[in-house]
Amino acid sequence: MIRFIHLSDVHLGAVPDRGCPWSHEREEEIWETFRRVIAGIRKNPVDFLFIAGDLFHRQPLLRELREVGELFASIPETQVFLVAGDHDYIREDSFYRSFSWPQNVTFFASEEQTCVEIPQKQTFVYGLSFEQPEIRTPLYDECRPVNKPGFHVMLAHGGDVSCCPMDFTRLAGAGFDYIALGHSHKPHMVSRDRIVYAGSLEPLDRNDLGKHGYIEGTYENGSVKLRLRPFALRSYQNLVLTVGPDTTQYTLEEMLRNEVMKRGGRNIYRIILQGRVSPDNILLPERLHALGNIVEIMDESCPDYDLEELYRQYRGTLIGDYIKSFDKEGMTVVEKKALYYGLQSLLSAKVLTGGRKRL
Amino acid sequence: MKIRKIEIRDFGNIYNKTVSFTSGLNLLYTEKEQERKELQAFVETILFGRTEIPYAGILWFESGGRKYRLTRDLHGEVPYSELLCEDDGALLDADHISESKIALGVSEAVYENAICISPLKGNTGAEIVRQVQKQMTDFQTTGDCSVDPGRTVQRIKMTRKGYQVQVERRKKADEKEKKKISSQISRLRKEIRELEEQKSQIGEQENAFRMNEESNGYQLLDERISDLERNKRFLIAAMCLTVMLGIGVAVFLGMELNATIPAALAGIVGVALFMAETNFEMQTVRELEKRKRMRVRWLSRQEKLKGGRSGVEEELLDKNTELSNLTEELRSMEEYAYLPLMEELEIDALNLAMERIEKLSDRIYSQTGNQLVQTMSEVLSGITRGECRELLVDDEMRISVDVGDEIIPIEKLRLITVEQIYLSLRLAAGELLCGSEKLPVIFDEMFAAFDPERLKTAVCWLTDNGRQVIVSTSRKSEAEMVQQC
Repeated sequence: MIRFIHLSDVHLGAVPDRGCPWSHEREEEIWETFRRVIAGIRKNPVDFLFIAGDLFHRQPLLRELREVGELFASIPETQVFLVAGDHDYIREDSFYRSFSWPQNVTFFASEEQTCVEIPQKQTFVYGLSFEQPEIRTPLYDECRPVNKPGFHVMLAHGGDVSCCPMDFTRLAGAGFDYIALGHSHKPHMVSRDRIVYAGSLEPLDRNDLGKHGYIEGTYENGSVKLRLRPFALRSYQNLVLTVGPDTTQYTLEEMLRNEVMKRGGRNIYRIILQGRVSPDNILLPERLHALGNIVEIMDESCPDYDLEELYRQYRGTLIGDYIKSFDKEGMTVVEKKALYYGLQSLLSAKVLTGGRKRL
Repeated sequence: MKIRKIEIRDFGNIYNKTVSFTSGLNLLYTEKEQERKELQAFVETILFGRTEIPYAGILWFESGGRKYRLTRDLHGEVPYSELLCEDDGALLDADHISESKIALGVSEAVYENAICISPLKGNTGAEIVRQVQKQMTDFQTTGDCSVDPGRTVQRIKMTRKGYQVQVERRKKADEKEKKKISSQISRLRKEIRELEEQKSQIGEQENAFRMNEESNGYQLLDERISDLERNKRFLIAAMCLTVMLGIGVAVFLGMELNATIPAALAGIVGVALFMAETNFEMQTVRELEKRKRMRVRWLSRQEKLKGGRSGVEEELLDKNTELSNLTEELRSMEEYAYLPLMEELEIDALNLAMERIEKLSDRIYSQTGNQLVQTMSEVLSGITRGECRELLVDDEMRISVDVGDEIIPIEKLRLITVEQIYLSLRLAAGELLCGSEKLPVIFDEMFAAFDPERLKTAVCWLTDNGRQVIVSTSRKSEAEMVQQC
């Protein structure tokens, strides 16, 4: 049985959410998680470690390569295969070109597809590295494994228009036992147990939702078995808070506090406020920033107005005209918000005449 | 439109009560304030089909020359409403009555502005004047005396300010990050310059070893050492030759020719020559050793320079890579800065709201502004029996009245005249909002400040103009005045 780990898009050196208080901590955590992966392999060695591109966020510095090299050297029982992706592509003056990797590391140093054979494991690893940040030609579609028995693995990076497009149907039929993909930060299978994006090891921005880690796999009797091992220190989560006519600032804050406590205080949240709030309750969503790692607040809530009824009440006046001016299909987000902002202001600035009160 | 009769089966605290109205002046008098208010509220509630409280009753009214009966009963599980045209027996939509022509398109806001008129609340005359002035301006720009466009816009601006502060804060934080990267870039550039200087110094030092383009210091030293070694070898050979020659000549002269003295002299010369050569040879050896030491020193220095040079070059490349990474980071941050923030979206929405309100308000002003003043003027003249000839409004919306021989600003008018101006504003609003058919007008304790004469003039003018007048009051004095009309 062959055991392997497939990871990609580690993005060492990235500084997520620049400007946020947790940003530099996250920069360190990306390194830390990568070190933890290596430490795990040291404790429980696997046969192969496949890194499908973007190990570094930008051009690797020599000291960074040395550190990574030393980490790889600390797992001599594991053969490491590494390709450069669109972020850490092999520039002309890149240290990738001159760096001496430890003996157990194979770095695919050109844009030409090459194959490396590991006879003792009857394994063939294919790969190529990016030499430019953008490749629009499909480099992998014509790749075929050599006609020899064994475990044939291809490391590939990209899959979208500007980043080496791939015809996954052709790849699925090419004959590889496993295609370890990189580039997409969301771990997912393109073809069951055969073509897999490992996703980024740590989530890097607010769009990298869900679990993140690496793929742990085995190859035995011609079949591959895989499982995603969540390994990231934190996660980005969308937190939907549904507000109602009774919701006040205090209840909203309590709601968020409880949710954050339940889901984990270290995680990073994008708050989405939904529902209908009482026009009399003024909510200040920006105050929620202080209650956790809040990267963004999207206020999709609106005041609890019955527009039809209000129009009926105020027809013939500015308020009625205002409601009517927004009465159209397919209002944009800005228009919808404008309708409620204006209406709330008009109604709250209304002077009650003669002690009479409206509905 | 005229209200003919109301029959309240139950509404608030009123049960089974019927009140009939004439098409002219009506008095709705009861000492119980609550009951009177409920009677008034019943008309509004049944007309607009409000559903907050359960009630049941019937309203008979006339509109467009046709008679209608509106029945509502909200006690059942399914509210019951029926609008019957008594002239032709047709059943009409009772749920959207305010939108139909039957109720002349009177919305609740219009009802509030034009049908039900309450006195102004104010402790002082100045306060009342301010309110009249304000309500007139508000009506001209909003079509509703109670909507304050100034306060509305102010409120929107305040909300916008909040978001602008947040955007500023975010941008400042971004700017701070950018500055941090920029200062890192400057530091790196400085370090790169220093390293380049170091590299050029090393280059100069390396050049210093070179005498000319073909030969360098090492070659010269090597040549010199070879010369010295050659000299040394020559001197050793010369010394050997001197010893041999000296001994040979001395032995030959002494043994073969028995010339002892020449032999001794030849020996002495030989010894002297040998010593001189030995001296030369020792000097050459010393020189040779010195040159060899120099060569070793030169080589180690050369090695050191080479090492230093490659170290500096490596560091330089590392720094240059770091610099290009940071430049790239800064560029992507600048690109990212163009993406709109969530707060900017809110600001856009607030700006749109403000623009729309101002545009609509201008439109209302252009439609009603001058017409309102003109209608108010006519009404004022009517209800004061020509005492006030004309109502004037300047560009700054200040009201004044032409009383015949002079024009008096509103601040200097008697309080009763201000009340009359207010009344003319509300009545004119009704005229403008509902076009040709006259709306009924319900005065809610409006005439407390009026004397009988003024009240009579106002009421008569209204009824003469075809408007149904309902004076609702709990004050006996006001009721008596109305009864006298």
